[in-house]
Amino acid sequence: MNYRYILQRLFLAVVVILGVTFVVFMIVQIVPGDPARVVLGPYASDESVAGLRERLGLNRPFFEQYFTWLGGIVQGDFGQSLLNGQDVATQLLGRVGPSLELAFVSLFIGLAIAFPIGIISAIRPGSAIDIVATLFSQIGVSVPTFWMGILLMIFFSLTLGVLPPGGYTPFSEDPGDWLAHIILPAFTAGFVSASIQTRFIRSAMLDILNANFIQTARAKGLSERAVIIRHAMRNAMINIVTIIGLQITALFSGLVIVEVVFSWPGLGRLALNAVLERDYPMLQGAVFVVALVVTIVNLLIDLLYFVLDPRIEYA
Amino acid sequence: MKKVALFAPLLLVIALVTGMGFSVSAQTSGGVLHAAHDAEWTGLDPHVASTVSSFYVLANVVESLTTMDDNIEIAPLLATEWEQSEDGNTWTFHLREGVLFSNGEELTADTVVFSMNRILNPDTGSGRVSSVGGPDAVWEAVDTYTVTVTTPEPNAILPILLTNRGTSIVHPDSVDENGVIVVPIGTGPFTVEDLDGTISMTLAKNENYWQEGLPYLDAVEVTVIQEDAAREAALLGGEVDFITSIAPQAVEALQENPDVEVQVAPALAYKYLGLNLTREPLDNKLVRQAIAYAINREEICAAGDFGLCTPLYGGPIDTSSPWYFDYAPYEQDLDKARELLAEAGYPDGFEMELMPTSTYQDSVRQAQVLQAQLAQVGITTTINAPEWAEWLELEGSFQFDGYLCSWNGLTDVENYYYLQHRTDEVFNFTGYSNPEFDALVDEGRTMSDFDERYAIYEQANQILVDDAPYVYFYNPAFVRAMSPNVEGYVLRSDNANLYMNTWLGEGE
Repeated sequence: MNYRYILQRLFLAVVVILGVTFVVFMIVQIVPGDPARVVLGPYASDESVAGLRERLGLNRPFFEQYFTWLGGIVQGDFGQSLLNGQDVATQLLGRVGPSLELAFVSLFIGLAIAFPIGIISAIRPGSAIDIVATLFSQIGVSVPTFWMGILLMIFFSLTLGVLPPGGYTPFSEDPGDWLAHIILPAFTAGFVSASIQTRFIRSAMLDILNANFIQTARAKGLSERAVIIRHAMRNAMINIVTIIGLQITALFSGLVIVEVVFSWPGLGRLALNAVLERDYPMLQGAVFVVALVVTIVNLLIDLLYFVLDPRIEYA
Repeated sequence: MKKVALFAPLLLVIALVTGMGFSVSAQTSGGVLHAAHDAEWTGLDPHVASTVSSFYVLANVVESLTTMDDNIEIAPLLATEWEQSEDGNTWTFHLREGVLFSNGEELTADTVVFSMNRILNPDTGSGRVSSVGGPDAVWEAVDTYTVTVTTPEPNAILPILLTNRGTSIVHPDSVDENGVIVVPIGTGPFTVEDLDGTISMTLAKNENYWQEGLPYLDAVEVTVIQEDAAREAALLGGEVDFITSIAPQAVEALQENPDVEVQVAPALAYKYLGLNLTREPLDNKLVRQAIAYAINREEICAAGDFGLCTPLYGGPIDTSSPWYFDYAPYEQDLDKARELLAEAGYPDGFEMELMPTSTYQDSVRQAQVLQAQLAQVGITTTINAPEWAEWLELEGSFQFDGYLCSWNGLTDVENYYYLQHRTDEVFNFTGYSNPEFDALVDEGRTMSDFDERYAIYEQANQILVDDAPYVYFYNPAFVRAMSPNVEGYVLRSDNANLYMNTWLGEGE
């Protein structure tokens, strides 16, 4: 592993994050809709809209606005929300934690479902388990997240009354309550990602099981279990890690819906409301943080390849 | 469809019964109410915020000089009395003495003038300028407890306009170095504590509140649950005691549930179609009348609000208001609509676009029904449903044929007839202009006697209904749901969300 490669990757990460923020800033400015009008509502005079635009700095040129924002970021100042004047950085800090918790618990639930089922399906293609798993994947991929979330909520919190219908309790305050609140949203997001993961794990395992070196291992007289765990799994992991990386990114974008349905105080819900209200600084901040998280995840995945596959070399 | 007509009187009965408060348990102090609001507040600066969700909070924190009582009649609040000068250009307000802000400092004429000047300052970007006397109004402190406001023209209804909580008095320390109010310091019964962005807050009892013995509650824990199903589940599961709205289609089921108390009140609000009078053929009065005759309001109500409303066949104001005018010509009449179209020179109809907003799905459902109804008389419509931010931009700049929206807070006839329809007035988005109408509403502004005003506005209403720049659909209903131990909460027809008189009892 060489440091030049890592530096290269880090530099690229910074470029990517900056690129994303610039593109989002541009898009949100191009999209019709004026934050001042959103604040003042449908019955605002042109005078009051003009006054508010001036106060919020919306009349300044595009590049000036962008670089002012960038200059603030470097100093850790994310600006104030256009809608409520609250400090964006403080808001983001409060939202990152819950979103990360939800993303990782969802991922964990997804993998806990997908791994055993995907591997068993691969070992016994065409068996009853394989068919049922395929059916469930199909359902998971096709059912809209919000609908599934609402169904689960109705069943577990209204019919059975065992889980709260939404909301959030910090882990530090009451771990049991935190768990009760996270199960439904995490399962909703996790089930969808499990459906996709199962297919990938199955096909990755199938490819490997039919590969030459596995046949060799079998010919050497190793037990089937040893073949699968020692040889097949380890090689399949490379593909699977790639998928997990993509899934984390996908999960982050999928969280918007889950967070709104389950009143989860995360970044997705914040970003969605910021878009709808054209709250530029809030949206920019949220995008910046998500881009940061996704880039870091991808970086870690790339580094994991080294560990998993000694053959990989980077010039 | 019969059900709708039956429903209207029923609504009134429910409203009257809940309004009278049939509970018999004694008022008790203390306790914490857990409330779930249906939308995130969009800022807590009372002079700038415009959303219902913001005022659900603010109405408990800040107070205005005058207010509307539960019967929607003007009543003193921070001002105890007020009088108009001989020439009509100056109002004098006498302030209540001994009122403290939540930070312990006293309300004085200076703090009132500070707030009014902040609203009038163009840099604030406040939408309330017309409510405090217009851009040329001058507010002055006469002595510690007396303020005057002078306007270039007589403004007879200024005290009524000042009932709007968007004109509330805040302590100067509320404003930060950017000129923004993140959390206002007010004189209301509660203060904002533990504000977590736009997700949750605690409304804590203001220990300095001037009304003896109020509020009863120690605090209201406010959370936001945007999803209808989740909000209902939270109430049914006991996570919260009170929710600010339920989906209209769920009202019936919740009314039958013994563990929930549902309050329904006819709203001082209406849903409508606004037509663009700067475009052909909508500049033709006959065409607009044809649209008004072509539509079936019961069906629109069934689609938009699941029958929880009162159809409007004339002006915007329903029978439950003192400002109701008995002029309702627009029962559905397809033949009449076709005749009018032919007379206007469009025997084969014409094409137009309907603009609801995807942010409010009820308006989209209304547009879909409207499309089918207008097709019956040959008017072909397309539906364009942009999201709210874009919709506002199009609506504010005459870039539409017909927009669908609702207007809330119709507490005084002025709020509506003058501001939305006088030529070139700020909220006149249809381009409507009729000198005869203008003369009447100008005159109406200079009077304060109810009967005189009523006579004037009755004529104005008739002109307006005949000109049909707006086609009114119906008054919706407001709904609240709570657990049976929540006592003293009054659902008002102006949708003011006040926790001051609420307490927690034993339940039924």
